[in-house]
Amino acid sequence: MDTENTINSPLNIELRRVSNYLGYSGRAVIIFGLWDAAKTVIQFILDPETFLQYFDGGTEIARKLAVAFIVFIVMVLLTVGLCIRFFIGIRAISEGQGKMKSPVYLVVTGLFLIVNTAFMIMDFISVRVGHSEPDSLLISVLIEITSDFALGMILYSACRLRFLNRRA
Amino acid sequence: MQEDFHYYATYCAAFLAGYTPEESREIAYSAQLVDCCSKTFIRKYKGPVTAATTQLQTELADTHTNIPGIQDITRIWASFHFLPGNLYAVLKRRPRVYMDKYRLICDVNGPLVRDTVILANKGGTEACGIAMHILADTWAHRYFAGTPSFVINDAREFFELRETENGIERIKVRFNHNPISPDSLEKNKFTNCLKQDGELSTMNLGHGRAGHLPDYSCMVYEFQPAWGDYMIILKDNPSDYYRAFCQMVYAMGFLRGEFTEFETDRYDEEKVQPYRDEIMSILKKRQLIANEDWKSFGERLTGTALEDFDLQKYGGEYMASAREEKEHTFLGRFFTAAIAQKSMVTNKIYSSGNRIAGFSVEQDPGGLKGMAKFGMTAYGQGRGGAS
Repeated sequence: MDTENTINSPLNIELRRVSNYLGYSGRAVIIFGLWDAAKTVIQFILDPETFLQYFDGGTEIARKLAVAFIVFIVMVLLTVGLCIRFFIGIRAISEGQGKMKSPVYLVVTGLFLIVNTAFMIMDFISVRVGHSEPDSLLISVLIEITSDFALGMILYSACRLRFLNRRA
Repeated sequence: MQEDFHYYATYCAAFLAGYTPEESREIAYSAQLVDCCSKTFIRKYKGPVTAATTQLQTELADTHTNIPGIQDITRIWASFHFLPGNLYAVLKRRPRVYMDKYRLICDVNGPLVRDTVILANKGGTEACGIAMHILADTWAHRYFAGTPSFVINDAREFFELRETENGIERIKVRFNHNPISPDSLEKNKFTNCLKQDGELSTMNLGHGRAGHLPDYSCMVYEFQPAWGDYMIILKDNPSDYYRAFCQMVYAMGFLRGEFTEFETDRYDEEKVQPYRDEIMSILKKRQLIANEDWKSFGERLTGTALEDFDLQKYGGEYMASAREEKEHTFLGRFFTAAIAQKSMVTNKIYSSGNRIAGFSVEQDPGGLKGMAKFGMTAYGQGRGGAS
């Protein structure tokens, strides 16, 4: 009975709950990264004009070079973004499972959250200056907010987990 | 629980409670029949389908999880395999729809166990066998509910706690979802139901998500049930099964008139004590089914050979009887006792304000309300409502 009481003490239950939050938030960050990548690739295939709208003038060769340059830049950004998200997600899952504990990924998570939020604010500004459609922006912002929430949950859960572990 | 406990161990318990070997065999047969008496089985003998005490996988696959379907499933599984522990359980900040399911979680020594044994007092060996099946299952199936529910019956983080030379080892239980893949104690691989987050999927009925772990007498394991809110449950099957055995001996002692009142949380350890070591060695032996060990123990105990369970044994007698005589046959009495039990549990669930098992009024043989002369009604029409 004593063992049962110990494993089900409020502290241990809270530890399991927060570890679970951390694991699920890590998975969410990875899934949102994949969604982001898929969204950009699909957008590029179905509606390349979105990316080429600033290159209206010039010769055909200049236009092709611009396309190649944009594809390259987008791919690099996507890969970097995806790698960061995978790094954050995998580390969060590991910490949730009690395997690995590193403060580095929390710093990355914090920075990524700031950058993501900044991009979201820029999206709003682009609507104000008339570069984006408000209805398509709404969906994208809702997804971004959820993605930021997952990043925030990682920060909260990891800090809470460390605090609880010190008390345990 | 499986045939080893419901048939062979119940036979031993009945004999220890004071029944003759033949009465003990009838009780054991009836206890095991609860796991086989599906609508398909009953239809084969043109019996009342409302007496069904279990559902085959094919029947479950055929059942719609609409309101009547859920009510049918709940009536069967909550009445015979997952007897609710506390129909009036209280939890803070939970909606009614959740609480209705939470209150159906099976547990030992609940008021319904007492009602079940007292109801069996009015019947013969068949009713006694049904009651012993239900009582024993409360020990094996506790912590799971007899209604499909993801938020209640889902479970995760299974670890077997195995005694080794170095102390207790915590081994991760691995599950697969292939129904024809046999469970393996050596490889620690078991089959369980597929994770379906649809709340009412029949995959989330009872202990499906825990596979057959609750049914193996040797298993000692821990897990996190969905209803437990991150609580870990330690399940010590050998110890629980031993208590189930002692409680069955006490309950059958009561049914034989040895005690004037049936009390929950009471065990006849005195009668079982001389055989404790042997029983515990059977329960702790690492095997998926302990038929042979229990059979050999039962035969030594009674000094009589015990035939294996034969599902068709009483079918011929029932079929050959005239309609008005059917309720006096073994199967007829079993069906009557099963309908009575199902009616009693459904009514208790309904009376608690819970509608998952459907609407019910109290049985009244006088005919003023409820199902008048339910036995005759059932046999007379061949079909009908249990409650």
